[in-house]
Amino acid sequence: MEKFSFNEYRFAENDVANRLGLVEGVDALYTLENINNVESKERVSLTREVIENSLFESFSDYKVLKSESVVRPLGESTLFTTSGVQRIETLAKNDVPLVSQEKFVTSQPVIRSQFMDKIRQGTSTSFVNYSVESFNTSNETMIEVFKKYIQCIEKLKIDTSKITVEFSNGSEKWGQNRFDNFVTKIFYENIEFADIALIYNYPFSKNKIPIVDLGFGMERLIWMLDRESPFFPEYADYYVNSNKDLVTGVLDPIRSMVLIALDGTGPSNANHGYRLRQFSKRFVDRNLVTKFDENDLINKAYLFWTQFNHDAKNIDLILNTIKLENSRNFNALLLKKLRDDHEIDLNIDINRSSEDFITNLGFSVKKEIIDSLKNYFL
Amino acid sequence: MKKVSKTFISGGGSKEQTQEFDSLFFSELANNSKILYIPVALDRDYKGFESCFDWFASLINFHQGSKDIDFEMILKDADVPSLKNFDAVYIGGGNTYKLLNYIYTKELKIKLKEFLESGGLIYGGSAGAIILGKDIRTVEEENNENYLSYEGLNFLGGYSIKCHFRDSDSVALIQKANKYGLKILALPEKSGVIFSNKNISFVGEHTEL
Repeated sequence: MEKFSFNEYRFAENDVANRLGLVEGVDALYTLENINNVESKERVSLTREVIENSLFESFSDYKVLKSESVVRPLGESTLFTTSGVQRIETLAKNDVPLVSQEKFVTSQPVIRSQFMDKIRQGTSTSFVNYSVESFNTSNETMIEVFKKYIQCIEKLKIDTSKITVEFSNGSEKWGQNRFDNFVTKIFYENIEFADIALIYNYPFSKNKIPIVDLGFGMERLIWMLDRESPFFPEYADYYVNSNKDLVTGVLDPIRSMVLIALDGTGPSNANHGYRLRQFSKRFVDRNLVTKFDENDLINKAYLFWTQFNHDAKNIDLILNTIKLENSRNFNALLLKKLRDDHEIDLNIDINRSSEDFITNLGFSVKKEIIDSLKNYFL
Repeated sequence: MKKVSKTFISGGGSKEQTQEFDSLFFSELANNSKILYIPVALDRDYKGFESCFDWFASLINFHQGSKDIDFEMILKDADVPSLKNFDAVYIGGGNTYKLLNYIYTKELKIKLKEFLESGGLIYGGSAGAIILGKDIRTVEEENNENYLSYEGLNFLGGYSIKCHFRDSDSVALIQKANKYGLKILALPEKSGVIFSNKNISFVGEHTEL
């Protein structure tokens, strides 16, 4: 087996900083002091169209590709697409030979389940990950990508004087693939909003190839410039006069459910379906407080995500799938409350509408207890 | 009815190798149970931890049968949620010293002790198992960051634990036992031990040193 030594190829932090024109600041962070600043008074209202125009212009020599499905086949490193760079797994699986410098940019919806219990403004499980990828490239591409990305930032009129940069060398493991990398994290007023990874030696086919991977989230980019703004603007009305972290916490799981269900995934106790179920439980639990209209939430998420998925299932199917699953988990909460508060342990099928379920409960449980449950939950 | 706490110590291995032992753990969980999964002994980026999330989900899917079992995964920089919300805590493998440092930094020792006393279940796999023992110098070679702490949580009746044990490890392990005055339970892969009150039951092979 080839013994790869990345030390000879590894970037040194200060070399990279010099070449990018960065100035060392405090706490191992670098600033863009030497790069033209943009006055914040010129700020532009960021939308998906504005961001994509700037990004595609800045990387005009990159192909623009449609996004992949967020639901990945079993056996890949993750169940769901977590970033645009995962296209490399699709290429490897299909034995696609890589040309030198396979370069593309894409607007990729992603799911990062690890955050499902940590949702607040700025953090979500589903978002649009803008990905700029260069496969089978050279290490030098990282320098070029950084510079072009700063041009993109400047086109968006983002104040570069508020940006800091952090570097690190390390090793990672994605599934069975181990590799070494140099990561550049980019912050705006201490909020990390983008990163550029130079992967020195990604195992591909029988070789090890360099990859440069730039990724940043659309929602976070827009929100970081005005942190009082709704993290999910398509749901702006729900944020009015409300605790924004709480609202984001309720909206996130239903938004992720719709994204998963668009490809036809249904709930189950296995694989992708189990994840859908986990999101549903969180939505049902959190919406006990806010009592948002489920139909409207699903419809808005559907309109949002179908901008990126042109093979999406019909809205009625999505509505039906998600509402039935939410009913199931709501019914489970009712049974739990009966157990915890009234020591009544029933074995009743929860896989039905909540209306049917409560009617059925009435055959085994006293009316006053049913009424107290309704008062608590509805 | 008061729940009986149990601590499951796995000798490590793949999902297939630990299947028998894991099934005993999952059989203790009721319908609608919730597990707190702690994978912080691993060194991973966001994508790596996403794989961890999927792996743990697949472990649950394999064993849950008709039961509804949920879990929450915690990352190293996050606040630890109240353990009262969980029926079990699963501590995964990786670097034992890094994990122990995390446990102490987050002041988890007392919380885990109270959790056990209230009838909770704890599963420790590999590094997760070793930190539950008295002394983690059974794997002192893992201390690549010069961590100072080596005292484990000592939830296992004074035993220290060695996982992934092979016969070729015996000599070095006996030396450690003598040097540090340790009572060691050495567990090969595919094996495990369950501590409950003052009872100990073994699954598969084990060696006491």
